[in-house]
Amino acid sequence: MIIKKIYLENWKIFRNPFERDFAEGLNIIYGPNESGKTTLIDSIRTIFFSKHTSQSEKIKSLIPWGSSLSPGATITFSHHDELYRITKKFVSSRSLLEKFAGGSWERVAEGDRADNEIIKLIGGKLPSRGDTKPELWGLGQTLWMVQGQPIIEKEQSLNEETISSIQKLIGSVVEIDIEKKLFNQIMAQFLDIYTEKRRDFRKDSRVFIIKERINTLEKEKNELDQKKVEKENLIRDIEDKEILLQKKKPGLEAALQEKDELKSKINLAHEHRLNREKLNEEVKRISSEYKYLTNQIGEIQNNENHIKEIELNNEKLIKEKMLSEEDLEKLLEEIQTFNQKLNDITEIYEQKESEHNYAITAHTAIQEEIELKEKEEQLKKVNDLEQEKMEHKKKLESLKAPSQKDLNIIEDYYRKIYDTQTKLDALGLKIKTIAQTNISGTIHLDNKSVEFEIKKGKKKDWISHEVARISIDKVGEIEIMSGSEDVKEMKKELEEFGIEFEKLTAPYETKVIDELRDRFHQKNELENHIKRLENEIKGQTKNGKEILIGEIAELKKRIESDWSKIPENFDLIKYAENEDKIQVKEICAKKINELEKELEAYKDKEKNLKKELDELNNKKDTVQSKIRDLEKTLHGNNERKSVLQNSLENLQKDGFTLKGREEKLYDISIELDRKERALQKYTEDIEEMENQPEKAFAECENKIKRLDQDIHQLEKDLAEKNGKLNSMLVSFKDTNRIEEELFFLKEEEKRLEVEASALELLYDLIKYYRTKSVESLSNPVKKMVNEDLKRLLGIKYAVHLDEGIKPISVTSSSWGTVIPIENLSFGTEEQIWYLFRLALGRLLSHEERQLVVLDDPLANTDASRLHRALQILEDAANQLQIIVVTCDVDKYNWLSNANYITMEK
Amino acid sequence: MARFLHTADWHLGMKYAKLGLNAEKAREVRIQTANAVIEYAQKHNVDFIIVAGDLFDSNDIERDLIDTVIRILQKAMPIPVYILPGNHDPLTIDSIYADPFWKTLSNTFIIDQPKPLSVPNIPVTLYPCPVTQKQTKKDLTDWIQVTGGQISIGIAHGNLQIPGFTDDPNFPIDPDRAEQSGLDYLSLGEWHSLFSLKGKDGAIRTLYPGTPEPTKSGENNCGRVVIVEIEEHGSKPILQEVEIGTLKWEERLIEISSFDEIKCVEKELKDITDPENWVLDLMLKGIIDQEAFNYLEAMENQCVKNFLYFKLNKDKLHINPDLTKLKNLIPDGVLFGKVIDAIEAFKKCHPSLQEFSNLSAEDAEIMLQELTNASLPLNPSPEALERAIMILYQIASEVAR
Repeated sequence: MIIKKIYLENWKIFRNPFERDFAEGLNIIYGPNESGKTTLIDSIRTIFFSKHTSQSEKIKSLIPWGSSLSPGATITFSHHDELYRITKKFVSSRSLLEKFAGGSWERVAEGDRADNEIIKLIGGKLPSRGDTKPELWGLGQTLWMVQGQPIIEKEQSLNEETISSIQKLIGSVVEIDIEKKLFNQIMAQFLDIYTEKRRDFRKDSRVFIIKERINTLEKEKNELDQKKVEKENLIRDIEDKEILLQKKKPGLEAALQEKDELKSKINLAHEHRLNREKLNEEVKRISSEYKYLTNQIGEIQNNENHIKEIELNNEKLIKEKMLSEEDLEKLLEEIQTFNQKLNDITEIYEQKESEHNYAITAHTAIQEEIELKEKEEQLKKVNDLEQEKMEHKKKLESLKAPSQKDLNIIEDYYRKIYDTQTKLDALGLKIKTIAQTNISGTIHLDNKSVEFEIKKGKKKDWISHEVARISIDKVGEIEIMSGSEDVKEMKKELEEFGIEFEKLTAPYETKVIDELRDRFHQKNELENHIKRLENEIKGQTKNGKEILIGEIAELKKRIESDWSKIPENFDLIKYAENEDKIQVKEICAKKINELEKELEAYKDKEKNLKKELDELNNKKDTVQSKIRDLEKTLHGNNERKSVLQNSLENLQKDGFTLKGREEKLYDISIELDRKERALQKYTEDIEEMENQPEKAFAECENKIKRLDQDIHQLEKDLAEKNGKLNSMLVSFKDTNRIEEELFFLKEEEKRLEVEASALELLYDLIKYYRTKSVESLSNPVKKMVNEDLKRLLGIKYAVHLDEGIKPISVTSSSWGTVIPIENLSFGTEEQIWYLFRLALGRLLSHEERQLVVLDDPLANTDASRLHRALQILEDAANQLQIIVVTCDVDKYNWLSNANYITMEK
Repeated sequence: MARFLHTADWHLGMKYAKLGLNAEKAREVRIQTANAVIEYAQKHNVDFIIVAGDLFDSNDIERDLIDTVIRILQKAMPIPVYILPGNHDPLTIDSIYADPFWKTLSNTFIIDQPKPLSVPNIPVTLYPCPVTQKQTKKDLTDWIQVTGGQISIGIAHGNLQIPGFTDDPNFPIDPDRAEQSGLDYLSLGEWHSLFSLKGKDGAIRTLYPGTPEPTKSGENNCGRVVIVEIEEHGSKPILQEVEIGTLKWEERLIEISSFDEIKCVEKELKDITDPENWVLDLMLKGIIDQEAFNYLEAMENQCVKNFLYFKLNKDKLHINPDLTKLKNLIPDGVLFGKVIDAIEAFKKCHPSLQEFSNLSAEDAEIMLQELTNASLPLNPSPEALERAIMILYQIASEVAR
């Protein structure tokens, strides 16, 4: 099929009619973005494969924005050398198929029929529901690339039409319809039973359901069998228990009999025990008496011994004590002597100390006197300075000098006057006179009159501003008048300035500027001087004169008090009034040192004495404490002795003599001996007479108890178990029906499994043979793609097709490995699909040219590959109609024989 | 004079695994037959009825069966019914006869003691040997010693130890017991086919009546009860066999090799007028083609519907498909043909099917090799192969229409 012309109206951006013609070979549609290139190309699919009555979203999106116009298009195409055109309008739907025959367009079909007829012509299918999709575009599914989707995804298989077109082409084995039907039925039956991938039985298949039921039933049966086993066990248990019960009952009887027999024996045993115990008590009693008495005797003797010991010890201690007391006396005497010595030393020391103090005080007083002198001098200086300052100040006051500011203003005015005057003078008339003879007269300048006299050949100048009248004696008068206003003004100004000047200088009583300046300077000097004096004063006094005076007073007071502290008889006091303070100070210092040395010596002596005294004291303490200890011990001993004596008295209270006691002891021991022997005999018989019978009786009783318990328990158990058995029997369900159903189901299962197995076999065989037949289809496609791939990339890759005749992987010649196509770079993948489309297109164009649409292919291809790819494109255009859409026409510019279609008007 | 009905081995409530979903029906039939026995007894005025063991199939049957049985036995009134517990329904703790419901019947006696028992109103003493255990190697009849002049009838359940004939040593019974103990007649139960033993005096005094309804195939001589008449103590018993059962259990083996022969088989089966009472295992042996096989399958389906139980055993029946005919169903079907050939090739791998394969060994080898190379894990069983051919045939026939 070859597209001749496409006409669009109210179609997306094409609000105005838009038409383009297409060539048989290569067509390049170019234009900027959003110029409608893809819209144009997509219209082919829409027109051919959408129902004209469609109201899907896709169709609605054809309506130009903001309008409610009906999009419509007409595609003129040739099919097997017949010319057709199909017009479809959407929204207000229409469909018309016409054929060009006999020089004019004839109507072939309209409406739905037209939709169907066009499908019959060019292949593909109409969608049953919703939008058209690639699978329904017949060969277009593969040959017409959708923008942005160079790859046909794995999940999408090439449609039947494409496959059978290839089949037809290769003349390979084609499945006839009946076969297809047969196989599809078998495969459907297979898929009814199995899940396709894992070949598990489907959950809704009969065999699965039966298997489940078998499981359930078997579980039920197991449970019931379990119950049966339980029942059997229960029965066995009951039987066992009954047998046991039968055995135990006679046992109980026998035991009861035994018990009676044993009763009499028991009584005897009790008697024996009682007697034995009584005897035991007596033995105990006598034994303790014996012990008591023995103890008593022992204690008495002990006490007596102890008392003797204590008395001996005491004697020793008293002797010791006396010796110690003698030592103590000696020590006390020594101590006294030392104390006396110490006191003497201390006295002398104190005396020397006070002398030392006096010396220091004197020294201090001298020091203070020196200070006092200094300060008095300082004060004098300060007073002098103040006097000076006062004088200067007086001078300053009498000086009438202007301040800097005033001076400046005055100077200003002075200058101003001068300037104005100068200006005036300048303005003024300068009268220069050179006397040729002696002249005299009066000259009136402005308002001044001056008499003059000029000798011959002498000069004289005058300035006048306004008026000048010269009266020359014997000559006459000359009057000169100036009318300048400026002059008048300036004169006024000058007058004003003059007045001001007067005012300013009035206080100073002089007009002379130099004097004013002088005075100003004088003032400054005086002020500076005063400042200097003040600083000096400050320097002298630091805190002010008052303070200084205070300090002086203070010092005087202190000096007085110091001297008063020293007693009259002190030798240094004679220096009190000495003038040479420095010397005095030295003498004092010397004295102080002397005294200090003496003090130290005495201090040492004192220390030594103290040490020795301490030693003596320590010795004394030791002896004293020894004495105390001895006294304590003695005391203690005496206490003990008295305690012992008391206890001795107590023990002997009963009046017995030692002998008496001993006799009594002997008697007791005899009796004890007798009783013990008797007890012995009883004790020997315990086992036989007491224990055994008692044991036997106890055992018998236990036995009875046990048997009783056992029998009781057995009876209880039996009752319980019988009850349980009865309820089991009542509710018992037999497994007959279950087993019958199981038997039946298992047979059925077997049958179904064979059926499934047979279907699986058939399924696999059918699939296998189908695939094989398809494989033979892919070889020519593969061959062509690989040839072109070689042209494009060299022998780098060889492509493989899957059983759906789609590229799936490549073999890399350099690595010898198979690489899945999605692992290649996007550019290379794109190129492979591009070549695939062109190859398939060419193969299928043997009867009639096919159309290949490439919307912006090779977007990711670099320049060198692109060039080669386009060469292949050019060659392919000899056998195909190709429409390429691009926004970059420069890439394609060098192609000859291409029909360039611009989107612009 | 004593006249009584001797029956045994009713096996009520028994499991009929093989009958699958029709088992319940078979059980129903047994109950109906029990009813028929009682009715017969009533009609023919017997003095008493003896059920010599295995009235119930086990002590584990559902207890509501007791109710049904009691109702049936009630119909025997006033004829006394003597029930001996057998090895299937012994008098163990869980015995079905322990149910208090039995006490509501005044004419039914569950024998629980191996002690002589007088029948009221007639000069008969019974010498019963109830079974109290599930197994024993003891001869439970050895206590019997007849004393007195009454008609003495023993009742026991077990296996007559006839050398060279019996191979079950459980519940042994001395074949000479009747004579040795002085019994006029020993009513036995346990064997399902009717069996009688002639004594030295030529009289039959020991007899198994057999089960009134077959319990499995091979019970050739069952479906009966026996009416016994004894004039007086010492007389020869007069026996009358009564047909009472309704079910038929058969196994048949037929060889077929052609379509006509199949038609014959069909006719034979159609000749059975009451297939609802028949349990038939039909084994067909031979080699047939796919059409015949298909026809057989249809016939089988029909029989399964009609018979109480019908099983067509095809283990010895093989398909030798007529490939030409088969392939001609889809004459242009190349792949179809290939698939058929592949199946024939697979058949060559199975010794049981080799000879029925239409492919030569070499051709088969090539095809199999190709399939193995394609790593198809195909390993079909012989049944699957034969079924595969049938599926192809059936669907192809349908599609070709």
